[in-house]
Amino acid sequence: MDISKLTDVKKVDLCKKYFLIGACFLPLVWIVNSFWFFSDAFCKPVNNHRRQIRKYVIGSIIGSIFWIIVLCSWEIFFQHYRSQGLVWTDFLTFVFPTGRV
Amino acid sequence: MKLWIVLILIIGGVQCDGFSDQVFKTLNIGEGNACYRTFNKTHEFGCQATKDNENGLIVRIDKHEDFKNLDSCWRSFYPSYSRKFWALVPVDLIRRDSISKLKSSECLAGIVLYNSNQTMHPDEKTTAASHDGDCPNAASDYYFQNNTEAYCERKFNSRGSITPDGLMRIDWRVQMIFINNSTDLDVIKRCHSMFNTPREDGSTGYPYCGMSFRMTNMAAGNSEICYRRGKNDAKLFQMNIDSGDAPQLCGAMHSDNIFAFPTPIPTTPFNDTHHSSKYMMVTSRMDSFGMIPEVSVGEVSVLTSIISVLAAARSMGDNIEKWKKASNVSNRNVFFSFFNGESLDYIGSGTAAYQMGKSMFPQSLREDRAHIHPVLLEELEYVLEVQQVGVAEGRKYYVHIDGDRYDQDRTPTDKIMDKIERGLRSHGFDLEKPSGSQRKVPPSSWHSFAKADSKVQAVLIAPFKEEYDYKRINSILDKNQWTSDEKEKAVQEIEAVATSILAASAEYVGLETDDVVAKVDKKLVSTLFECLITSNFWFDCDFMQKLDGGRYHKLFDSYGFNEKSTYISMETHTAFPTVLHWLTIFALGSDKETLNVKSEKSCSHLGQFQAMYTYTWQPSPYTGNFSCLKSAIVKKVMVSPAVDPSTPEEEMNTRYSTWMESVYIIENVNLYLMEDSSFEYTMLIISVISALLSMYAVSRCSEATFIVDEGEPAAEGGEPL
Repeated sequence: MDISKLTDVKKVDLCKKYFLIGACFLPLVWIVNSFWFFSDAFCKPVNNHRRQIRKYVIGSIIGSIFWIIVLCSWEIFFQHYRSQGLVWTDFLTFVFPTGRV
Repeated sequence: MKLWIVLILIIGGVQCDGFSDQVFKTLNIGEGNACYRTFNKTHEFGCQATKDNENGLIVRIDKHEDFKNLDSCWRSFYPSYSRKFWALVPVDLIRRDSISKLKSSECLAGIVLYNSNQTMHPDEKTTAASHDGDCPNAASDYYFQNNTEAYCERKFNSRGSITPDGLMRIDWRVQMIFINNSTDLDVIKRCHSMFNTPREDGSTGYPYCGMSFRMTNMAAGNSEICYRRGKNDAKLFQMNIDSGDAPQLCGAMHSDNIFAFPTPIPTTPFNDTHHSSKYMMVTSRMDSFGMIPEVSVGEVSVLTSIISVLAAARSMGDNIEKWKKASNVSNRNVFFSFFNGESLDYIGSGTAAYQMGKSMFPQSLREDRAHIHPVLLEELEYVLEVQQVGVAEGRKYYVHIDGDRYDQDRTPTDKIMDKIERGLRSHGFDLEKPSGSQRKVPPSSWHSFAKADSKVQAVLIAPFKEEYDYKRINSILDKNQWTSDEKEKAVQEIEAVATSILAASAEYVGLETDDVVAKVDKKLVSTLFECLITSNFWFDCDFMQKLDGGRYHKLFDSYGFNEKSTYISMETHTAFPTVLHWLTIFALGSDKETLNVKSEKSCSHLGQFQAMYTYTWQPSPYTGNFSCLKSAIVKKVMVSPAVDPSTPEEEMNTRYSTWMESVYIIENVNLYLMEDSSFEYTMLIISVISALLSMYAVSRCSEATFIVDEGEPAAEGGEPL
C-alpha cells in the first residue's frame, strides 16, 4: 500500500488502527507503524491530523521499545538458564540441541 | 529444454558423491570402538566431535620421548602446517606422565589407540595403568554415604590409577578411537609413512596424510538432564512426527545379571512373606571398563574371580544332594550372584538390594500362582565376595569384614574365616585375618546391601590389604601376559579360593567339609583359564565351542559382541553375560530328571509355568551332546532404580547408580591427502572463474541454441511433425 496517496484523515485512521492492533501484544505491528508513519509524524509540517499521527507513532515507538527490552531481557535470561539444563527451561524449549546442554 | 539441462546438472552433482571413494580411504569403525559420552548425576565424561577436533594430520607417538613433539605441536616436522593432529598412540603409553599432555594439548584433534605388539617388559607390569580412580566407586561407598568416612578416604587404587579420578571420568576435548583390526592399522601407518614421515634431510611437504572422524553424541550435561529430556512430558511442545514419543537421547547402563540357586527356595502362596530361610550370597562382579569404555578384557578385574566362583559352583553341583540335605536341616542356603555394572557404582547389586527390600528378588510376586519365597534383605546374612584372584604377590590372601557388624556376633564369622583359611592353606596359601584398618570393607558389592540393611555381613577374599597390588584394574591393559609359572600360580590361586568358597559355604549351611565337598576340579579351572583368559575370543577353545553348540551368533557390529569385552553398556550388546549364563548352567544344571527329554521343544515346554526351575537345552562342553538341563538360574536385566522409569520414586537417588550413556552416531574414519591451504584457495578461485564463465556462456545462449531437431520449433508452433 502506498500511503502517500491517502488523505490525512485516512492516514490517521490507519495509524490508529495499527496502534490499537499492536496493543493486542503484537509489537511487530507497532514497529511497522513507527516506520510507516514516521515521516508523516515528524518530517512534514504539523497540522491537526499529523499531530494525531505523531501521538500514535510515539505510542507505537514507546511500545516497541518496551517490547524490545522485554523480549531481549527474556531472551538473555532464558538462554542463560537454558544452558544450565534446568527443568523449567527444558519445559519451554522447542528443540533440544544435539550434544549440548 | 533448459529444464533438462538443470536436471542433468543436478544428477551430475549428486553423482559427484561417487568420487568420495577416490578421494577418501574409508575405514569402518564399529560401535564401541570409539570414545563416547557417559554421564553420572552431576557430570558428563568422554568425547564429542566438534568442528575443531574432526580433521587432522596423522602423527605417531611410538615411545615416551615422542611426547616432546606433542609439546611443540610437531612444528619442527611440519613448519607450514598449523592445524590439528590425529596421534597414533599404543595403549601402553597411556601413563601418569603422558596423560596430562594428551589432555591439555591444544593441537590434538584426536587419538588413535592400538595394542602394541611389543611384549610387555616385566617392569611395565608394575607401571600404573588402571583406568579407574584412586577410590573406585567412592561416591556410592557405604561408609561415605553413612557419614562415617570422608569422600575417598581410603585410596585402594592409588598405586595403579593413572589419574586420581580415573580416565573414564574425564571430559575430553579430543576424540578417541581404538583400532584392533591390524589391516586398518596398517593402512593408517602406511599412509603416515608415505606422506608424513620426514625425508632423509628432515624436511616434509604437502601433500600430507590426513584423517577425519566424527562421533556425535545426542545427549549432554549429566544423566539427570538427559534422562529428563527423554521423557514425553519434558517439553511443553512435544512434537515428534515419527513416533509421537520423545526421541531417546541416552540410556541407563544395564545388562544381564546371573543368580544361581543350587538349593531350591521354598515355594509359598502369594502374600506369605514369613522369614523362611537365611542366605549367604557368594558373589563376583562381571564388568570392568577402560578409557574407551567398552575396550576392556577384565582379566583380573573380573575373569579370574569368576572362574573361582564357577569352579566352586561346579563342585557344589556335583554334590548337590549333600548340600540340599544340609540346607534343609539348617534352613540356611547359599546362592551365587554375578553382578553386572559393579564398577559403575554398583548397578547390579544396588538393584538387587532394592528388589530384596521390595520383595521382588529374584522374581516379582504374581497373584495368579504360587511363587518362590522372595529373598528378603533381613534374610541375607552374608555377602561373600572374591576379587582380583590370581595376582597375589607371594602366597598370601586377606579377608576383609566390617568391624562394627562383626563385633555384634563374632562366632559365626570367625568360623567362616577359619574355614576360608583352611581352604587356602590346603593349597599352600596363607590368610591374614582382619585387624585395624582392614575392619572396613574395600569397594565391593556388599556396600549396596549394607546401605539397605544394618545387619548383613561382608566377607571379602582378596589378595590385597590396604591398597590394590594389581595396577591394571579396570583398564584396556587388564590383560596379563602370563608366563607359564605365573599361569600355574594363578590357577593354583583360583583353585585355592574356590576351595575356600566351598569351605565357607559348607560351614554356613552346616555341612561337614570333607575331601569330596570341598574338592575343586583343577582341570576345569585350567580349562576355563585357557578359554576365558588365554584365548582371543570367548568361543575359541574346544570346551567353549562345544558349550556353544552353534547357539552364539555375532548379531551386531559392535566391539562388545565381536571382541572379548566385559563392559556393561546400555544396549546389552556384549557376549559375556551369555557366556557366563551358559557356564553357570553347566556348573549347576542337572539332567538326572530329564534324561527322557530328547528335543529342544519338549525341554522348553517343561519350563512353562515354573516358578523356580528353568530347563535349558544345552550341550555338554565335554561331549558336545545336547541335553535338557534343569537348574534354578535366573538371568535378569538389572536397571538401577535411580534411572529406571518403573521406579519414579527413586529417580536420581544417589544411593543407587546414576550412570547413563549417550545415544551416538558414529561415522567412518576417512583418510585423505591434505593440500596446502594456498592450493585450496587456488582451486576455489579457479572454480569460481569457471562457474562465472559457464554462467556467461549459458546466458548468451537462447533456446534455439539447444534445439537440435529442426522440426521442433515448427511443432511448438502447432504444425504437425
